[in-house]
Amino acid sequence: MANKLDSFARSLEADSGDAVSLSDGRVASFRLSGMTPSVVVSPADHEALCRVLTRANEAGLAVFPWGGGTGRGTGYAPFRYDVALSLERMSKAVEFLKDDLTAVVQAGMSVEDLNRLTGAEGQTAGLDPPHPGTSTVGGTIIADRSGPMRVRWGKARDRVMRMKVVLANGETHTYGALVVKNVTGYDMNRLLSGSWGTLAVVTELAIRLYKAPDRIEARAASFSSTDAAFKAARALTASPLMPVWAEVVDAARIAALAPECGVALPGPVSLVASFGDFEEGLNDQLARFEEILAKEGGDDILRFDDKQTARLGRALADPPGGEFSDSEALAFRASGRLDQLPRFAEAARRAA
Amino acid sequence: MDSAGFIQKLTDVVGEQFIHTEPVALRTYDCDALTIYKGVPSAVVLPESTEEVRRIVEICRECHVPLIARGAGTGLSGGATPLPGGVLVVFTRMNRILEIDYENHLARVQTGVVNLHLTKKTLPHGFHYAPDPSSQAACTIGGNAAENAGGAHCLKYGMTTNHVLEMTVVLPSGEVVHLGADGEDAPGLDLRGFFIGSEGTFAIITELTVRLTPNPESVRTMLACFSQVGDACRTVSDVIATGAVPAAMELMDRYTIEAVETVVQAGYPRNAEAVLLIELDGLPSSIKPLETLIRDVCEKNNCSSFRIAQTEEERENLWMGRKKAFGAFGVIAPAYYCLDGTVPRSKLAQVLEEFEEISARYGLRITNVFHAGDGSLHPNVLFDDQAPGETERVIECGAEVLRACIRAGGVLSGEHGIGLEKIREMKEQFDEPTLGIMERVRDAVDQDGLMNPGKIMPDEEHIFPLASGGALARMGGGMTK
Repeated sequence: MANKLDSFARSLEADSGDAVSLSDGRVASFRLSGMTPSVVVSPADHEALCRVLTRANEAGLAVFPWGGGTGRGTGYAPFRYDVALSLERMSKAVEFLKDDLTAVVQAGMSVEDLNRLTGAEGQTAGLDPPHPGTSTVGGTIIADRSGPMRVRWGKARDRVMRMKVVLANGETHTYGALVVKNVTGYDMNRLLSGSWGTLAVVTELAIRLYKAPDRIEARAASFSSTDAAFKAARALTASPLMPVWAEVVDAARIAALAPECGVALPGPVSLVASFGDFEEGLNDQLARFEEILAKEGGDDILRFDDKQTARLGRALADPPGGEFSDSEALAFRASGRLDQLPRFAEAARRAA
Repeated sequence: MDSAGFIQKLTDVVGEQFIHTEPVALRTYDCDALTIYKGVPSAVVLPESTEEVRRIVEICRECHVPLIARGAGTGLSGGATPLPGGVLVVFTRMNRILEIDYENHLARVQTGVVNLHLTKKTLPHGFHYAPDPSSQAACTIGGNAAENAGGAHCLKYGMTTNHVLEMTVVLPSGEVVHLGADGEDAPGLDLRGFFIGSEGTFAIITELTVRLTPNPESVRTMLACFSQVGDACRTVSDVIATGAVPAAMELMDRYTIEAVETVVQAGYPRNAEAVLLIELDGLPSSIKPLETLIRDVCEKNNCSSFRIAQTEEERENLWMGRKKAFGAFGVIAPAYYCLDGTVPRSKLAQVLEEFEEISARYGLRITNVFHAGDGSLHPNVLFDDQAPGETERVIECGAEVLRACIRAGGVLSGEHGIGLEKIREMKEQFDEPTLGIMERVRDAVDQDGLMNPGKIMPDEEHIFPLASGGALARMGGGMTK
């Protein structure tokens, strides 16, 4: 193994120089389910990344593409882990075509940076994975990690217009184009979105954008049980209202949220939803949501302004417990038909 | 096994009534709505269940006979045109809606359910099935999934892939598998998404769980007229740039207006160079500001008139013009060839100018009626299919049109699929390694080339004969998107 690694490192230094940084001092921060890589490699650009994969392939090394590492707790422990391939040096915007509502970015850009870039023009990618300052755009797409805003903008994978990827043998492929509608050949972007880096390393993405709503505000009400809150949530989804996000929050999470974002939701169980629109539409949607809450038996209706709503939305997108880590905490993510969710929530609570 | 034995085995599965082998019957299935290429199958079978499809696949696999699935045959790229000698599986009988779950906004249907039937059934309950290709009165939900069909309203609501949650498919191995889930986050690879749009080359879809969309509370339809096509195109890009997402935004040029007004009198001004049909839907309070915004953009781009349909009848009339446009081309030419290249929305004006130049060079008229909001073009090359050599020249002209789309950063197909029609141009869209991996992935799913061979990928081995005197689309024949 040491020989393989040596020849890998030597050959990379020979053909890439500064374009690839190798480090064995940082391996501890790239641990995965108790396993530590032998080396961390960070290429400066697409071409350098191609060389890394070509050389690793020649040497027979197992490579883990690494964005922000926020998904490291998901999945089985690897049975081999030689190289952590970090995208940290590939975090730039390539092209922002604001009139076409399209952003082309390197895969290692953080979601927060993408939001800043698009937000400056009043646009949004509608991506809200946990830990947006650390989560990368590439990682979010490749893990198809959607957040609460999925109800408004769709899944993370729906954002992809074009992807530039490198296969294990170092070959570069580009799938898709800068168009919003495309059935030319097989839908390779969908095959890759959600493949967790098992098929290829994504280096550049063209992301479809939307106009960000002028203002987003939330309303919440308390319900006596999870069942009742879910029932109100179903009434919301059956209505013509278009929430930006809609969440049922239980007592434990309500208690944890207050110190995280300074917003106290009404307990024991809350249904909270936000809406974004021009002023007239927004006021109408909020008023009608309050009617739904009242009709479904919600009490203590609370109104949050845009600043509180932004903090609340951010906190709800992060998993409970704050920091991500290679730790002992166990988080479930499940989905199913809406009317079965209360049963799942109840079963999970009992199991805990 | 000899041919008689093979046919007997298929007959044992579906029953004598539901297999066709007589030449006259077979010829009625020799193409879909792209009628220029023909392939006569060796048998047409009409199964009624997933189990029957599974048994048909097993028999074909044993005998190395390719399979081609066909919904309603409304596709425009030849996806359902049989490889000569193959077995065509037709889903006319698998047309049952199995379950409608209004609580969870889902419906489970057999593959042959007609798109519009599901909408008609759910409309009174406040829901509809959003994908709406122009052929929706005839095309099937399974066929839509195989092609990842679009439609006028996918600007806001997305393509078929955004509305299919789960599919039951029969693999070439004869295995029956379920792809996706009826909730949002199916674990593992998104094989559902990967199989959608694979044009029947991976597997045969037999059942689908689809999303039902709540009906919008209000709809506003408007017509903006322009004396320059470029102004209409710029209006489209400018509307998109404002971030407003209309439910639909359709552009029709002068030739289309002329044809439409001669046939149906939709109320489009005959002296306009282009009209934009724009539809907004949603809460009245949400769409009212958009109405003003869109009117301003139209006026800024020199629209000569702008009106909003005041009654349901007026609205239907405006749409009637769009929906009858393809049929109406019959008054100006015996046949037309409809393409569906797609470009970034900011490039619309530029490519339309290029189309005009190509049209002049070939001496063939090109009309444009398309989903402008998506950049999804439908250039139609008009011609006389009875004139010798004309069809070949039209195909070459069509290829030039597609090249112009690729040069503008666009793609060969936005919603009709590659099928047989555009396989030659695939080499211009993709480089060798990219085509190579698509081929390897296809071969991984279908090792023996059993499923719809000769489609999507450039293919020297499977050649479909060009029908003599065949039209690309005859008037009143091809349904169009």
